[in-house]
Formats: sequence, structure tokens, C-alpha cells
Amino acid sequence: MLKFDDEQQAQTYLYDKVAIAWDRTDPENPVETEWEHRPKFRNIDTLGVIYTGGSWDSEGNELEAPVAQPGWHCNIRCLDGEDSTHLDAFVVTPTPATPRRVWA
Amino acid sequence: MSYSDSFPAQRASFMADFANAGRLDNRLSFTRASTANVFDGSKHLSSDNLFTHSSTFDNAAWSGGGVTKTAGQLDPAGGSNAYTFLENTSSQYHNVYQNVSGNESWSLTVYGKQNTGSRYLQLRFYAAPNNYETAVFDLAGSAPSTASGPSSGFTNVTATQTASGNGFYKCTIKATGNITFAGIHVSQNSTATSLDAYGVTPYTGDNTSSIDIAFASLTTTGATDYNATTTQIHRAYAPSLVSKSNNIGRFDHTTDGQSMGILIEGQSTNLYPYGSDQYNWSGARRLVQSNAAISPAGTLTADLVTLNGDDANTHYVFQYMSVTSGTTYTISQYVKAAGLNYVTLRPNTGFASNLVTFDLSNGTIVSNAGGLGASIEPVGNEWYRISVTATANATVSNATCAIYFSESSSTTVTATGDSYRGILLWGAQWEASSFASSLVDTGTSSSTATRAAESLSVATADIGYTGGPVSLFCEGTAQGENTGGGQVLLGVHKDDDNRIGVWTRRTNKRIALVSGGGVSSSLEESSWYDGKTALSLTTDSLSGSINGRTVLTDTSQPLPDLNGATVYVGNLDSGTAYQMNGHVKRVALYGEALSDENLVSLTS
Repeated sequence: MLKFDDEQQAQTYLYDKVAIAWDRTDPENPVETEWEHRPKFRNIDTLGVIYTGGSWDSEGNELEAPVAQPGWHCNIRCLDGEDSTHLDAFVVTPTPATPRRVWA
Repeated sequence: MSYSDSFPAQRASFMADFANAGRLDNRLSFTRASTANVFDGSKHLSSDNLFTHSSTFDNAAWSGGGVTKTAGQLDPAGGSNAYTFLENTSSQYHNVYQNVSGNESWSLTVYGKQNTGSRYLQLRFYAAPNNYETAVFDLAGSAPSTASGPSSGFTNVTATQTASGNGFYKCTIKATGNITFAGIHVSQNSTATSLDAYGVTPYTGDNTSSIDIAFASLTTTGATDYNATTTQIHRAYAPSLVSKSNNIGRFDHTTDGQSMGILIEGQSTNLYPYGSDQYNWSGARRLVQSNAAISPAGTLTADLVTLNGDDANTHYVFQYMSVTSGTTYTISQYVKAAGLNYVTLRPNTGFASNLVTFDLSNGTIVSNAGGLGASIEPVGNEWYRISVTATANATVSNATCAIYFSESSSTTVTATGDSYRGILLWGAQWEASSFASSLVDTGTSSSTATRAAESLSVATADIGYTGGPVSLFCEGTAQGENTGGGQVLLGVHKDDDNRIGVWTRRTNKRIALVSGGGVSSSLEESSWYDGKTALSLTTDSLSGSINGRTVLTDTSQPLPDLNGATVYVGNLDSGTAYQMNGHVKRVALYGEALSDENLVSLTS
């Protein structure tokens, strides 16, 4: 599991920002106008903010509010040729004994 | 007309018949970085009962003696199919049994209830003198008393007693070994003591003491769900939902064994933990018996969930889930009737409350007043996969999709809570998707789980295509609709300026997109069609037909440069934006432009 400070940091490390449209008013100097985020890895599983605790009665009324844990969480599973060394600093260690999510 | 009959005279550079071959050409590259499930065409024993006349104990199929049997007694389900076993004055055994032989993992289940006097239920597996296993049930809820013969060859012996409907107890003894018969006894002793060489304590009956007996079941699967029999034993097989290892393609099959081709799916997460473990679900007025029946996977992991004893009330199970407003979710569940035929899925908190009711006796949706996306599909031996799709209208952490089980198609309220009738549940899935993808079984785990996206491709260099005029054929079916990028059944991609995609399920009914030298155009139909599509490209000409319909043509489309490109099955490229979710039966690539007549012929 990877833990980033926030969603924006995760996007920076896990996605490439790629221009998909340009303003070509000046053909010699096209200006990027639209972008999309293309994943650097084929298998990215975003958990986002993880909440713990929380309880409700049988009617769904909240008895105890769930608590947001700090950070933005993701799982990745690298394919051959995908380099993840730049993510080493974000790996959660030790690996959670009871992970919130696993790969099937 | 068969596929081969309509095949053009031109020879394909590459052709893959996934539906009939059931394997991948070794030039193809398939990846999936996780396991995934599929009905691969294999079957398993889904349920059995090797007793005949399983609840008519006065039939000649039952041997034994020492008891007077009176039919028509109240049974656990509220019917009149139980028998009173009144012991007579015999000084020997007071029992019934059937000769059943074999070396299996046996489960003998009988529902018993105390009647007059203080008598108990004894169940017995017998192989030979001093080679037996037996258990005595006090019919009051205590732990059963078990005993093994001095020369017992049985292993894995267990016995359980669970309170059931109308004062009955569900009594089960399990053992692995060789038997010659299985017996049901009235016992004077409340424990398995003072047994003879046959595993029984003979005694002289008082002609007044009795117990009630119903619903006898002898299985070889370990299951304890009840399948009634009359003149024939019950034995039912069903297609197996099989887990495939990482990077192994999935060739899917219908319930009746027909090949559907290769299943290609994108990444999806089952947001339910404990997807096959009702013990860890919340609920109201229900009882849970874990691992009571064989699941669609062929494993003893299906849970029996029954009504409790509350009358005139609802009975349901659920988990609290987090949802995000505006996100569409699909909740699916494998389910089988076990005394109750109606199941209702109800997205509630976090969603507009709507109820979708399914009839498990005939596999239909009987009510869906809210008009939600919903489906019910048979998966064999009366198991169904039901699903409902709804969009969250609030961001909450206590959303639910309750599963109600009831006796009526018109109300979730059940008149009599008999603690016996219920449903079998297995393989619940909650995913952020507009359709139910293949099950990612979270089993008894507290973790949610993600199935990785699949990719199937081949380099054009490996199939002898080096660019120039080209034609594509594919036959496939996508699951669900995609109002965004759409789904691509077959793509050839060199770069974003030079590519071909055979499309389906896109908002604008696109069937094909071609980019050549950065100039793009598409062919759009009047409606969505799944099936057979063929495209033909040559210099400044794009033609296509789907399902034999009139050929669509664009005479201004530059021919893409596809020298060194890659063919993707179920995708446009190596990304995720155009990932298909569905089945592909056949694909072909021709290194030349086919005629309009050939396009129509191929797709008819």
C-alpha cells in the first residue's frame, strides 16, 4: 500500500499530465488548453481517505462517527517494465496485517 | 449460415476464434495482475440427498423397527410433513434406516423434536461391527454426545444441533469413511453411552414415549440444506465459478455450457468485505447457518439465512457502506431459495429508497417500481445472480442495500417467522459500476478486493501485417452501457494519430473510429448493436457494417500508418479509457481491404 499526503500528491506520482487540446492561434506556438491524467501504471487501485471506527444502530442512525485517517491511500501492482522505484518513499511499512483492500 | 460459410475468399493475416478454440494463440499476450473468476465450463456436484422418501418414513424405502410412525405432524416449515416415532415394547432397536454404501464425506441431517416422555434422537453411520460413528441429540440445544466404535475407520467426525422451526432442532452428524447404512433412532439415553457392537443401546420401549422426526438428508458434499426426495435420490450438478490465476485468460460459458468467448474486463473492486460470510453482516430478525450449502464455486461456503421467530415482520441482512453522491453503484448477490422464493434488494440510505423484488422460483423480476437497473441470471441448480444498479444521492458512510427475504411478491413482511424457511446467500458484491462485473469474492475476509484490468494484444509484426490497406472483423458483446469514452471490442494502435477502433456502447452509437495521420472520423449507427462488426480501410476510404446492416462509408478518411502497431482485443490501446467489459468470440485482421459485399457477408 502507498500513502501520500493528499490526492494531489498521489496524482503527481501516479499519473502523467498530458495535453489533449491546444490553442493554435499562433501555429508556431500552440498553447495547451486541455489535459488529462494518464496513469503511469496499468493497475492503480485508489482507496483515498481511509476511515476507521463508526457505528450505527439497526435503523442506520450514527452512534459513533467514523474517523478519517491521515493521508491518501493507493495500491498498485506493477507489470513487467513498469518502474516503481520513485514510489519507495510512500510504501506503508510494515505492510498492514489486516489490509483494508487486497488484489484478488 | 455458419461463420465459415460466410468467410471471404481472402485469407486473414490473423484470426482468433476464442469461442470455439477455448485457448489463446501463443502469439497473443494476455495479462491480468490478479486472479479472476469465470464459469469455465466445468461442473460440480451442487446438491444431493441419497435418501429416498426423505420425509415419508412409513415408506418401504425405510427399514428398521421398534417404532409406530404417525404421519401428518407439524414440521419445521409449518407444514404437516413430520412423523411421530412412538417407541413400541420391543426390547431391541427403535429406528429407521436406509442402506446406502460408499466411502464419502457424509453428512446426515434430521430435524427432531421431543414429544412425549424423555426420549432423544440418535443418528448413526454404520460400516461393520465395532466400526461406526454415532451422536445423540437431546433436542434441547445441548452439545451432541458422540461416540466411535472401537474399530472405527471414520475421520473428521462432528455433530451439531441448531434450534429450528416449530420446536424442532436441526441435528447433523458428519464423518468421512465407508458406510453400509445410515440410521435414525429413538434413544432412551441422552448421551452416546453403553453402546453395543452396532453403536446402539437396545432397550425395551414403554409404548408411550415418542419424538417427532422430519426432513432427513444424507449428503456427500458436507451440505446440510434440505432437498426433498420421493422415489429417486436427489443429485444435481451445476456450472462451476472457477478462480483463474494471474495472467490466465477466462473463457466464459453460459449455464447450459455454451461458449461465450473470452471474457475481458477492466479493473473493479468489490467494496463488500465478508462477501460470502453472513456471520459478519448486520441484519434484523434473521438466523445464520454458515457454510450450509454448496456455492456456485462448488465449495461448502454458502450460508443459510433464515427467518427468526418473529411473526408479521420483515427479515433482512445488510452491511453499512460508504458512498459518494453522484456515483453509480451495482450491488449483486448469488442467491438460492431455501423455503422462501422472494428476495428484495433495497438501496436505501445514501440512495433514493427503492425496492426490486426477485422471484427465485422462476428467475424473474416481479417488481421494480423505481425503475432501477436490475437483473437476475440463472447460474445452475436454482442458484441465481441478482443485481441492482443505483446512483447515490448523498455522500454518507451508512448506505445500505438490504436483502429482504419473504414469502410474498407484494410485501417484504412475512406472516410467520418459523425459524426454518430462508435463502442461501453467497458472493455478495458492491462495486462502483453501472453493471455487475464478474465476482471478486471477498469470502470471509475483512478486506475488500480488487480484480486487475485485463489486456489481450498481439504485435502486428508478429502476424505479418506491416501496414497498408486493412480490414478488421470482430464478434463480441459488451456488458453495460458506457456514456463516456465507450468500449472498444478490437483496436489497432500505433499512436493516437494512427489507430482503428471497433466500438460499442458509446453514447453516439459509434461502431468505428479511425485516425490516420492525425485526421479522425467515425462511423455511427442509428442504435446500439452487439454482434459482428467488419471494417475495411484503403486509401481515403473507410467502410463498415454491423450485423449485416447497410455498409457505412466515409471517403475522406486518410489511411492510418499502422506499420509497427499493436492489435488490442477488448481495448483501443494499452490504457484504461476504452477498456471493454464483455465477451469477444472471434477476431480477424486482413492485410487488404475487403469489399462491401464481404463486409455484409462476414457480419450477417
